[in-house]
Amino acid sequence: MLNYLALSAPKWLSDSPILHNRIDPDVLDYFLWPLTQIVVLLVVVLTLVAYLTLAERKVSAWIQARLGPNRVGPLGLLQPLADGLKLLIKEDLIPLNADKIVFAIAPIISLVAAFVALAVIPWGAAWGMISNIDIGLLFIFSVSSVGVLGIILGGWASNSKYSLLGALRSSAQMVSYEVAIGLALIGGLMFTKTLALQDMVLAQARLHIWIIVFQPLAFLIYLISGIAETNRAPFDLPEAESELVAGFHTEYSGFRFSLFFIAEYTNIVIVSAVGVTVFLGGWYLPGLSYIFEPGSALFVLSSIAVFAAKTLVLLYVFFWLRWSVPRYRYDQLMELGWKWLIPAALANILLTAILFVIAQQLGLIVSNGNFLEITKLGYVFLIGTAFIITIPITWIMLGQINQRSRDFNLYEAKPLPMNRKK
Amino acid sequence: MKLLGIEAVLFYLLAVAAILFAIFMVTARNAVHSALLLISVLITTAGIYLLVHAEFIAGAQILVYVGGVLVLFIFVIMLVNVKEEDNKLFTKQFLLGGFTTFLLALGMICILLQTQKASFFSFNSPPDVKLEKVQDSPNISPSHNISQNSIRIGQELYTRVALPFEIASLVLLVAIVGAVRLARERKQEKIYG
Repeated sequence: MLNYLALSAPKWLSDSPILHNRIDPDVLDYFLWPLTQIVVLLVVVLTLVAYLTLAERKVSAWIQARLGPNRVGPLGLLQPLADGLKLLIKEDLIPLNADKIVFAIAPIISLVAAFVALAVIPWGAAWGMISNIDIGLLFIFSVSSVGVLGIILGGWASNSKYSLLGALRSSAQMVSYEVAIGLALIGGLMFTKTLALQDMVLAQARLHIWIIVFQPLAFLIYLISGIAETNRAPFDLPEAESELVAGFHTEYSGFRFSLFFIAEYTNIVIVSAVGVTVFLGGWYLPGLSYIFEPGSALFVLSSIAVFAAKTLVLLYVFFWLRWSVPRYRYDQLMELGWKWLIPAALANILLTAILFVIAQQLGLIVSNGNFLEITKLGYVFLIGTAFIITIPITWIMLGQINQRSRDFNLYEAKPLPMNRKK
Repeated sequence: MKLLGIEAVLFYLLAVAAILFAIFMVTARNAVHSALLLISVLITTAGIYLLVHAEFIAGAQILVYVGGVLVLFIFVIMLVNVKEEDNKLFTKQFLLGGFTTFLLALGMICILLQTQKASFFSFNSPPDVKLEKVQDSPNISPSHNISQNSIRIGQELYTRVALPFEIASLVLLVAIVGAVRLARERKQEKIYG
């Protein structure tokens, strides 16, 4: 661990005589260097989150043929600053019958849960990430599942019916879509053979391929459930303006509201970053190691740039979907989660495992320690079967499962087909 | 087992915090506050798991208990809208409760005395229980030098403890099916068959 951290520090920092003469290397490795990383990461992510709000408004404006915010600063680039200032000087309201302690804690739980998960995401090669722990992916899941509590407690503590309903909807939604997300990622884990996120990227770099070509279905499931998990349109039922005012944060104002808002956008960044890491190769780009020498500072910086570019593309998809698709009804949302996405994810796991074993028996995949080695024919086999076998079989199965789903739709106007059976 | 340096500090901090949270949890008069304090207890316990290098257990604990079970707890508490109980801390049940607790504590101490007979309150680590040292190898990336927890747990789950694992999941499945069966009304049964 110590050696690794010493290696992961950039050369000019670990070699500089000033640091070596005066500071204990342990302090440098375990305290100063991670602290620097954390501060830089927090500043970058907070700025990114601020500008995501602007980006969202701009994208929505372009989609609706408007101009978007353009008054504050050139092209409206200072708009996030103005928004933040406005939120800071707003009055901090607490409802009279609210549970004051829980009301105050709830946004903090949300924010902390969102920020802690940032620590294990591999933003770049070598020193581009803070901590590569063995349970990386599990860590992200467990921490983000704590984030749900912030929303529920906030909604409950407000002592308002809109907040409570929003919190109930949101927690039910997040708990059910978490299952689909977890199951979708397992398909990718079969090829990386590890939960540590940096190692997942390294595994993809070794295979010279992005996992998405082996797991197109899993990526689709992940993307849909990721949008639902972060409570965004078209699954933004918890804060549906037309029904619930603003959902769980109806009673929040000023700074506390902005904490919820920052947590929500940070969660979007995390979902995109995990999607990029597992399915889109993380910071790995074919040919990058030929341009820069692996391990050099330039290589790490360019790998961070690659990761940022991929994440921004996924974030744009999030915005794009929000302004293109109408909101789901609540029963439709639950049906999509439990009757479509979860069975599809389970089928994907089963079919991938079967195909994986077949390929192993044919000698197309050789397991070498903690990594896989796939022959050229193996790539063709795995990619081909993913599209030709996995997707059609899953599609047929979903059709069979949901054959009668309309019969169960209690809100449909037409009478129920009682005599359909027999 | 002797604790040294930062590990000792962290262990005692976490242990004291866990005990304090547990006491507050039992004495809290509001069900949601109790749930919140129970979450704190679970998270501090997960921290102790991390100290003994059981990362997978720590992660799974938070994921399952905090993210799953307690969310459902709070759900139920919110739905049935439990009113805050009256502030009388001691009721007539106090005597009965105290007596039961006394008996339980007595039994627990007897058992502990039996197991600790050889070394009562001694801090020597028991023999034969030693973690295998994970071999450093150049092919394995740095994270694996910390632990190979998740790999090992996965292998154990599919080989040695496969049967207990399957039995546990079967029991859970039966519980789920039973809950669904109980929750469905007669009328729904008639309509949908």
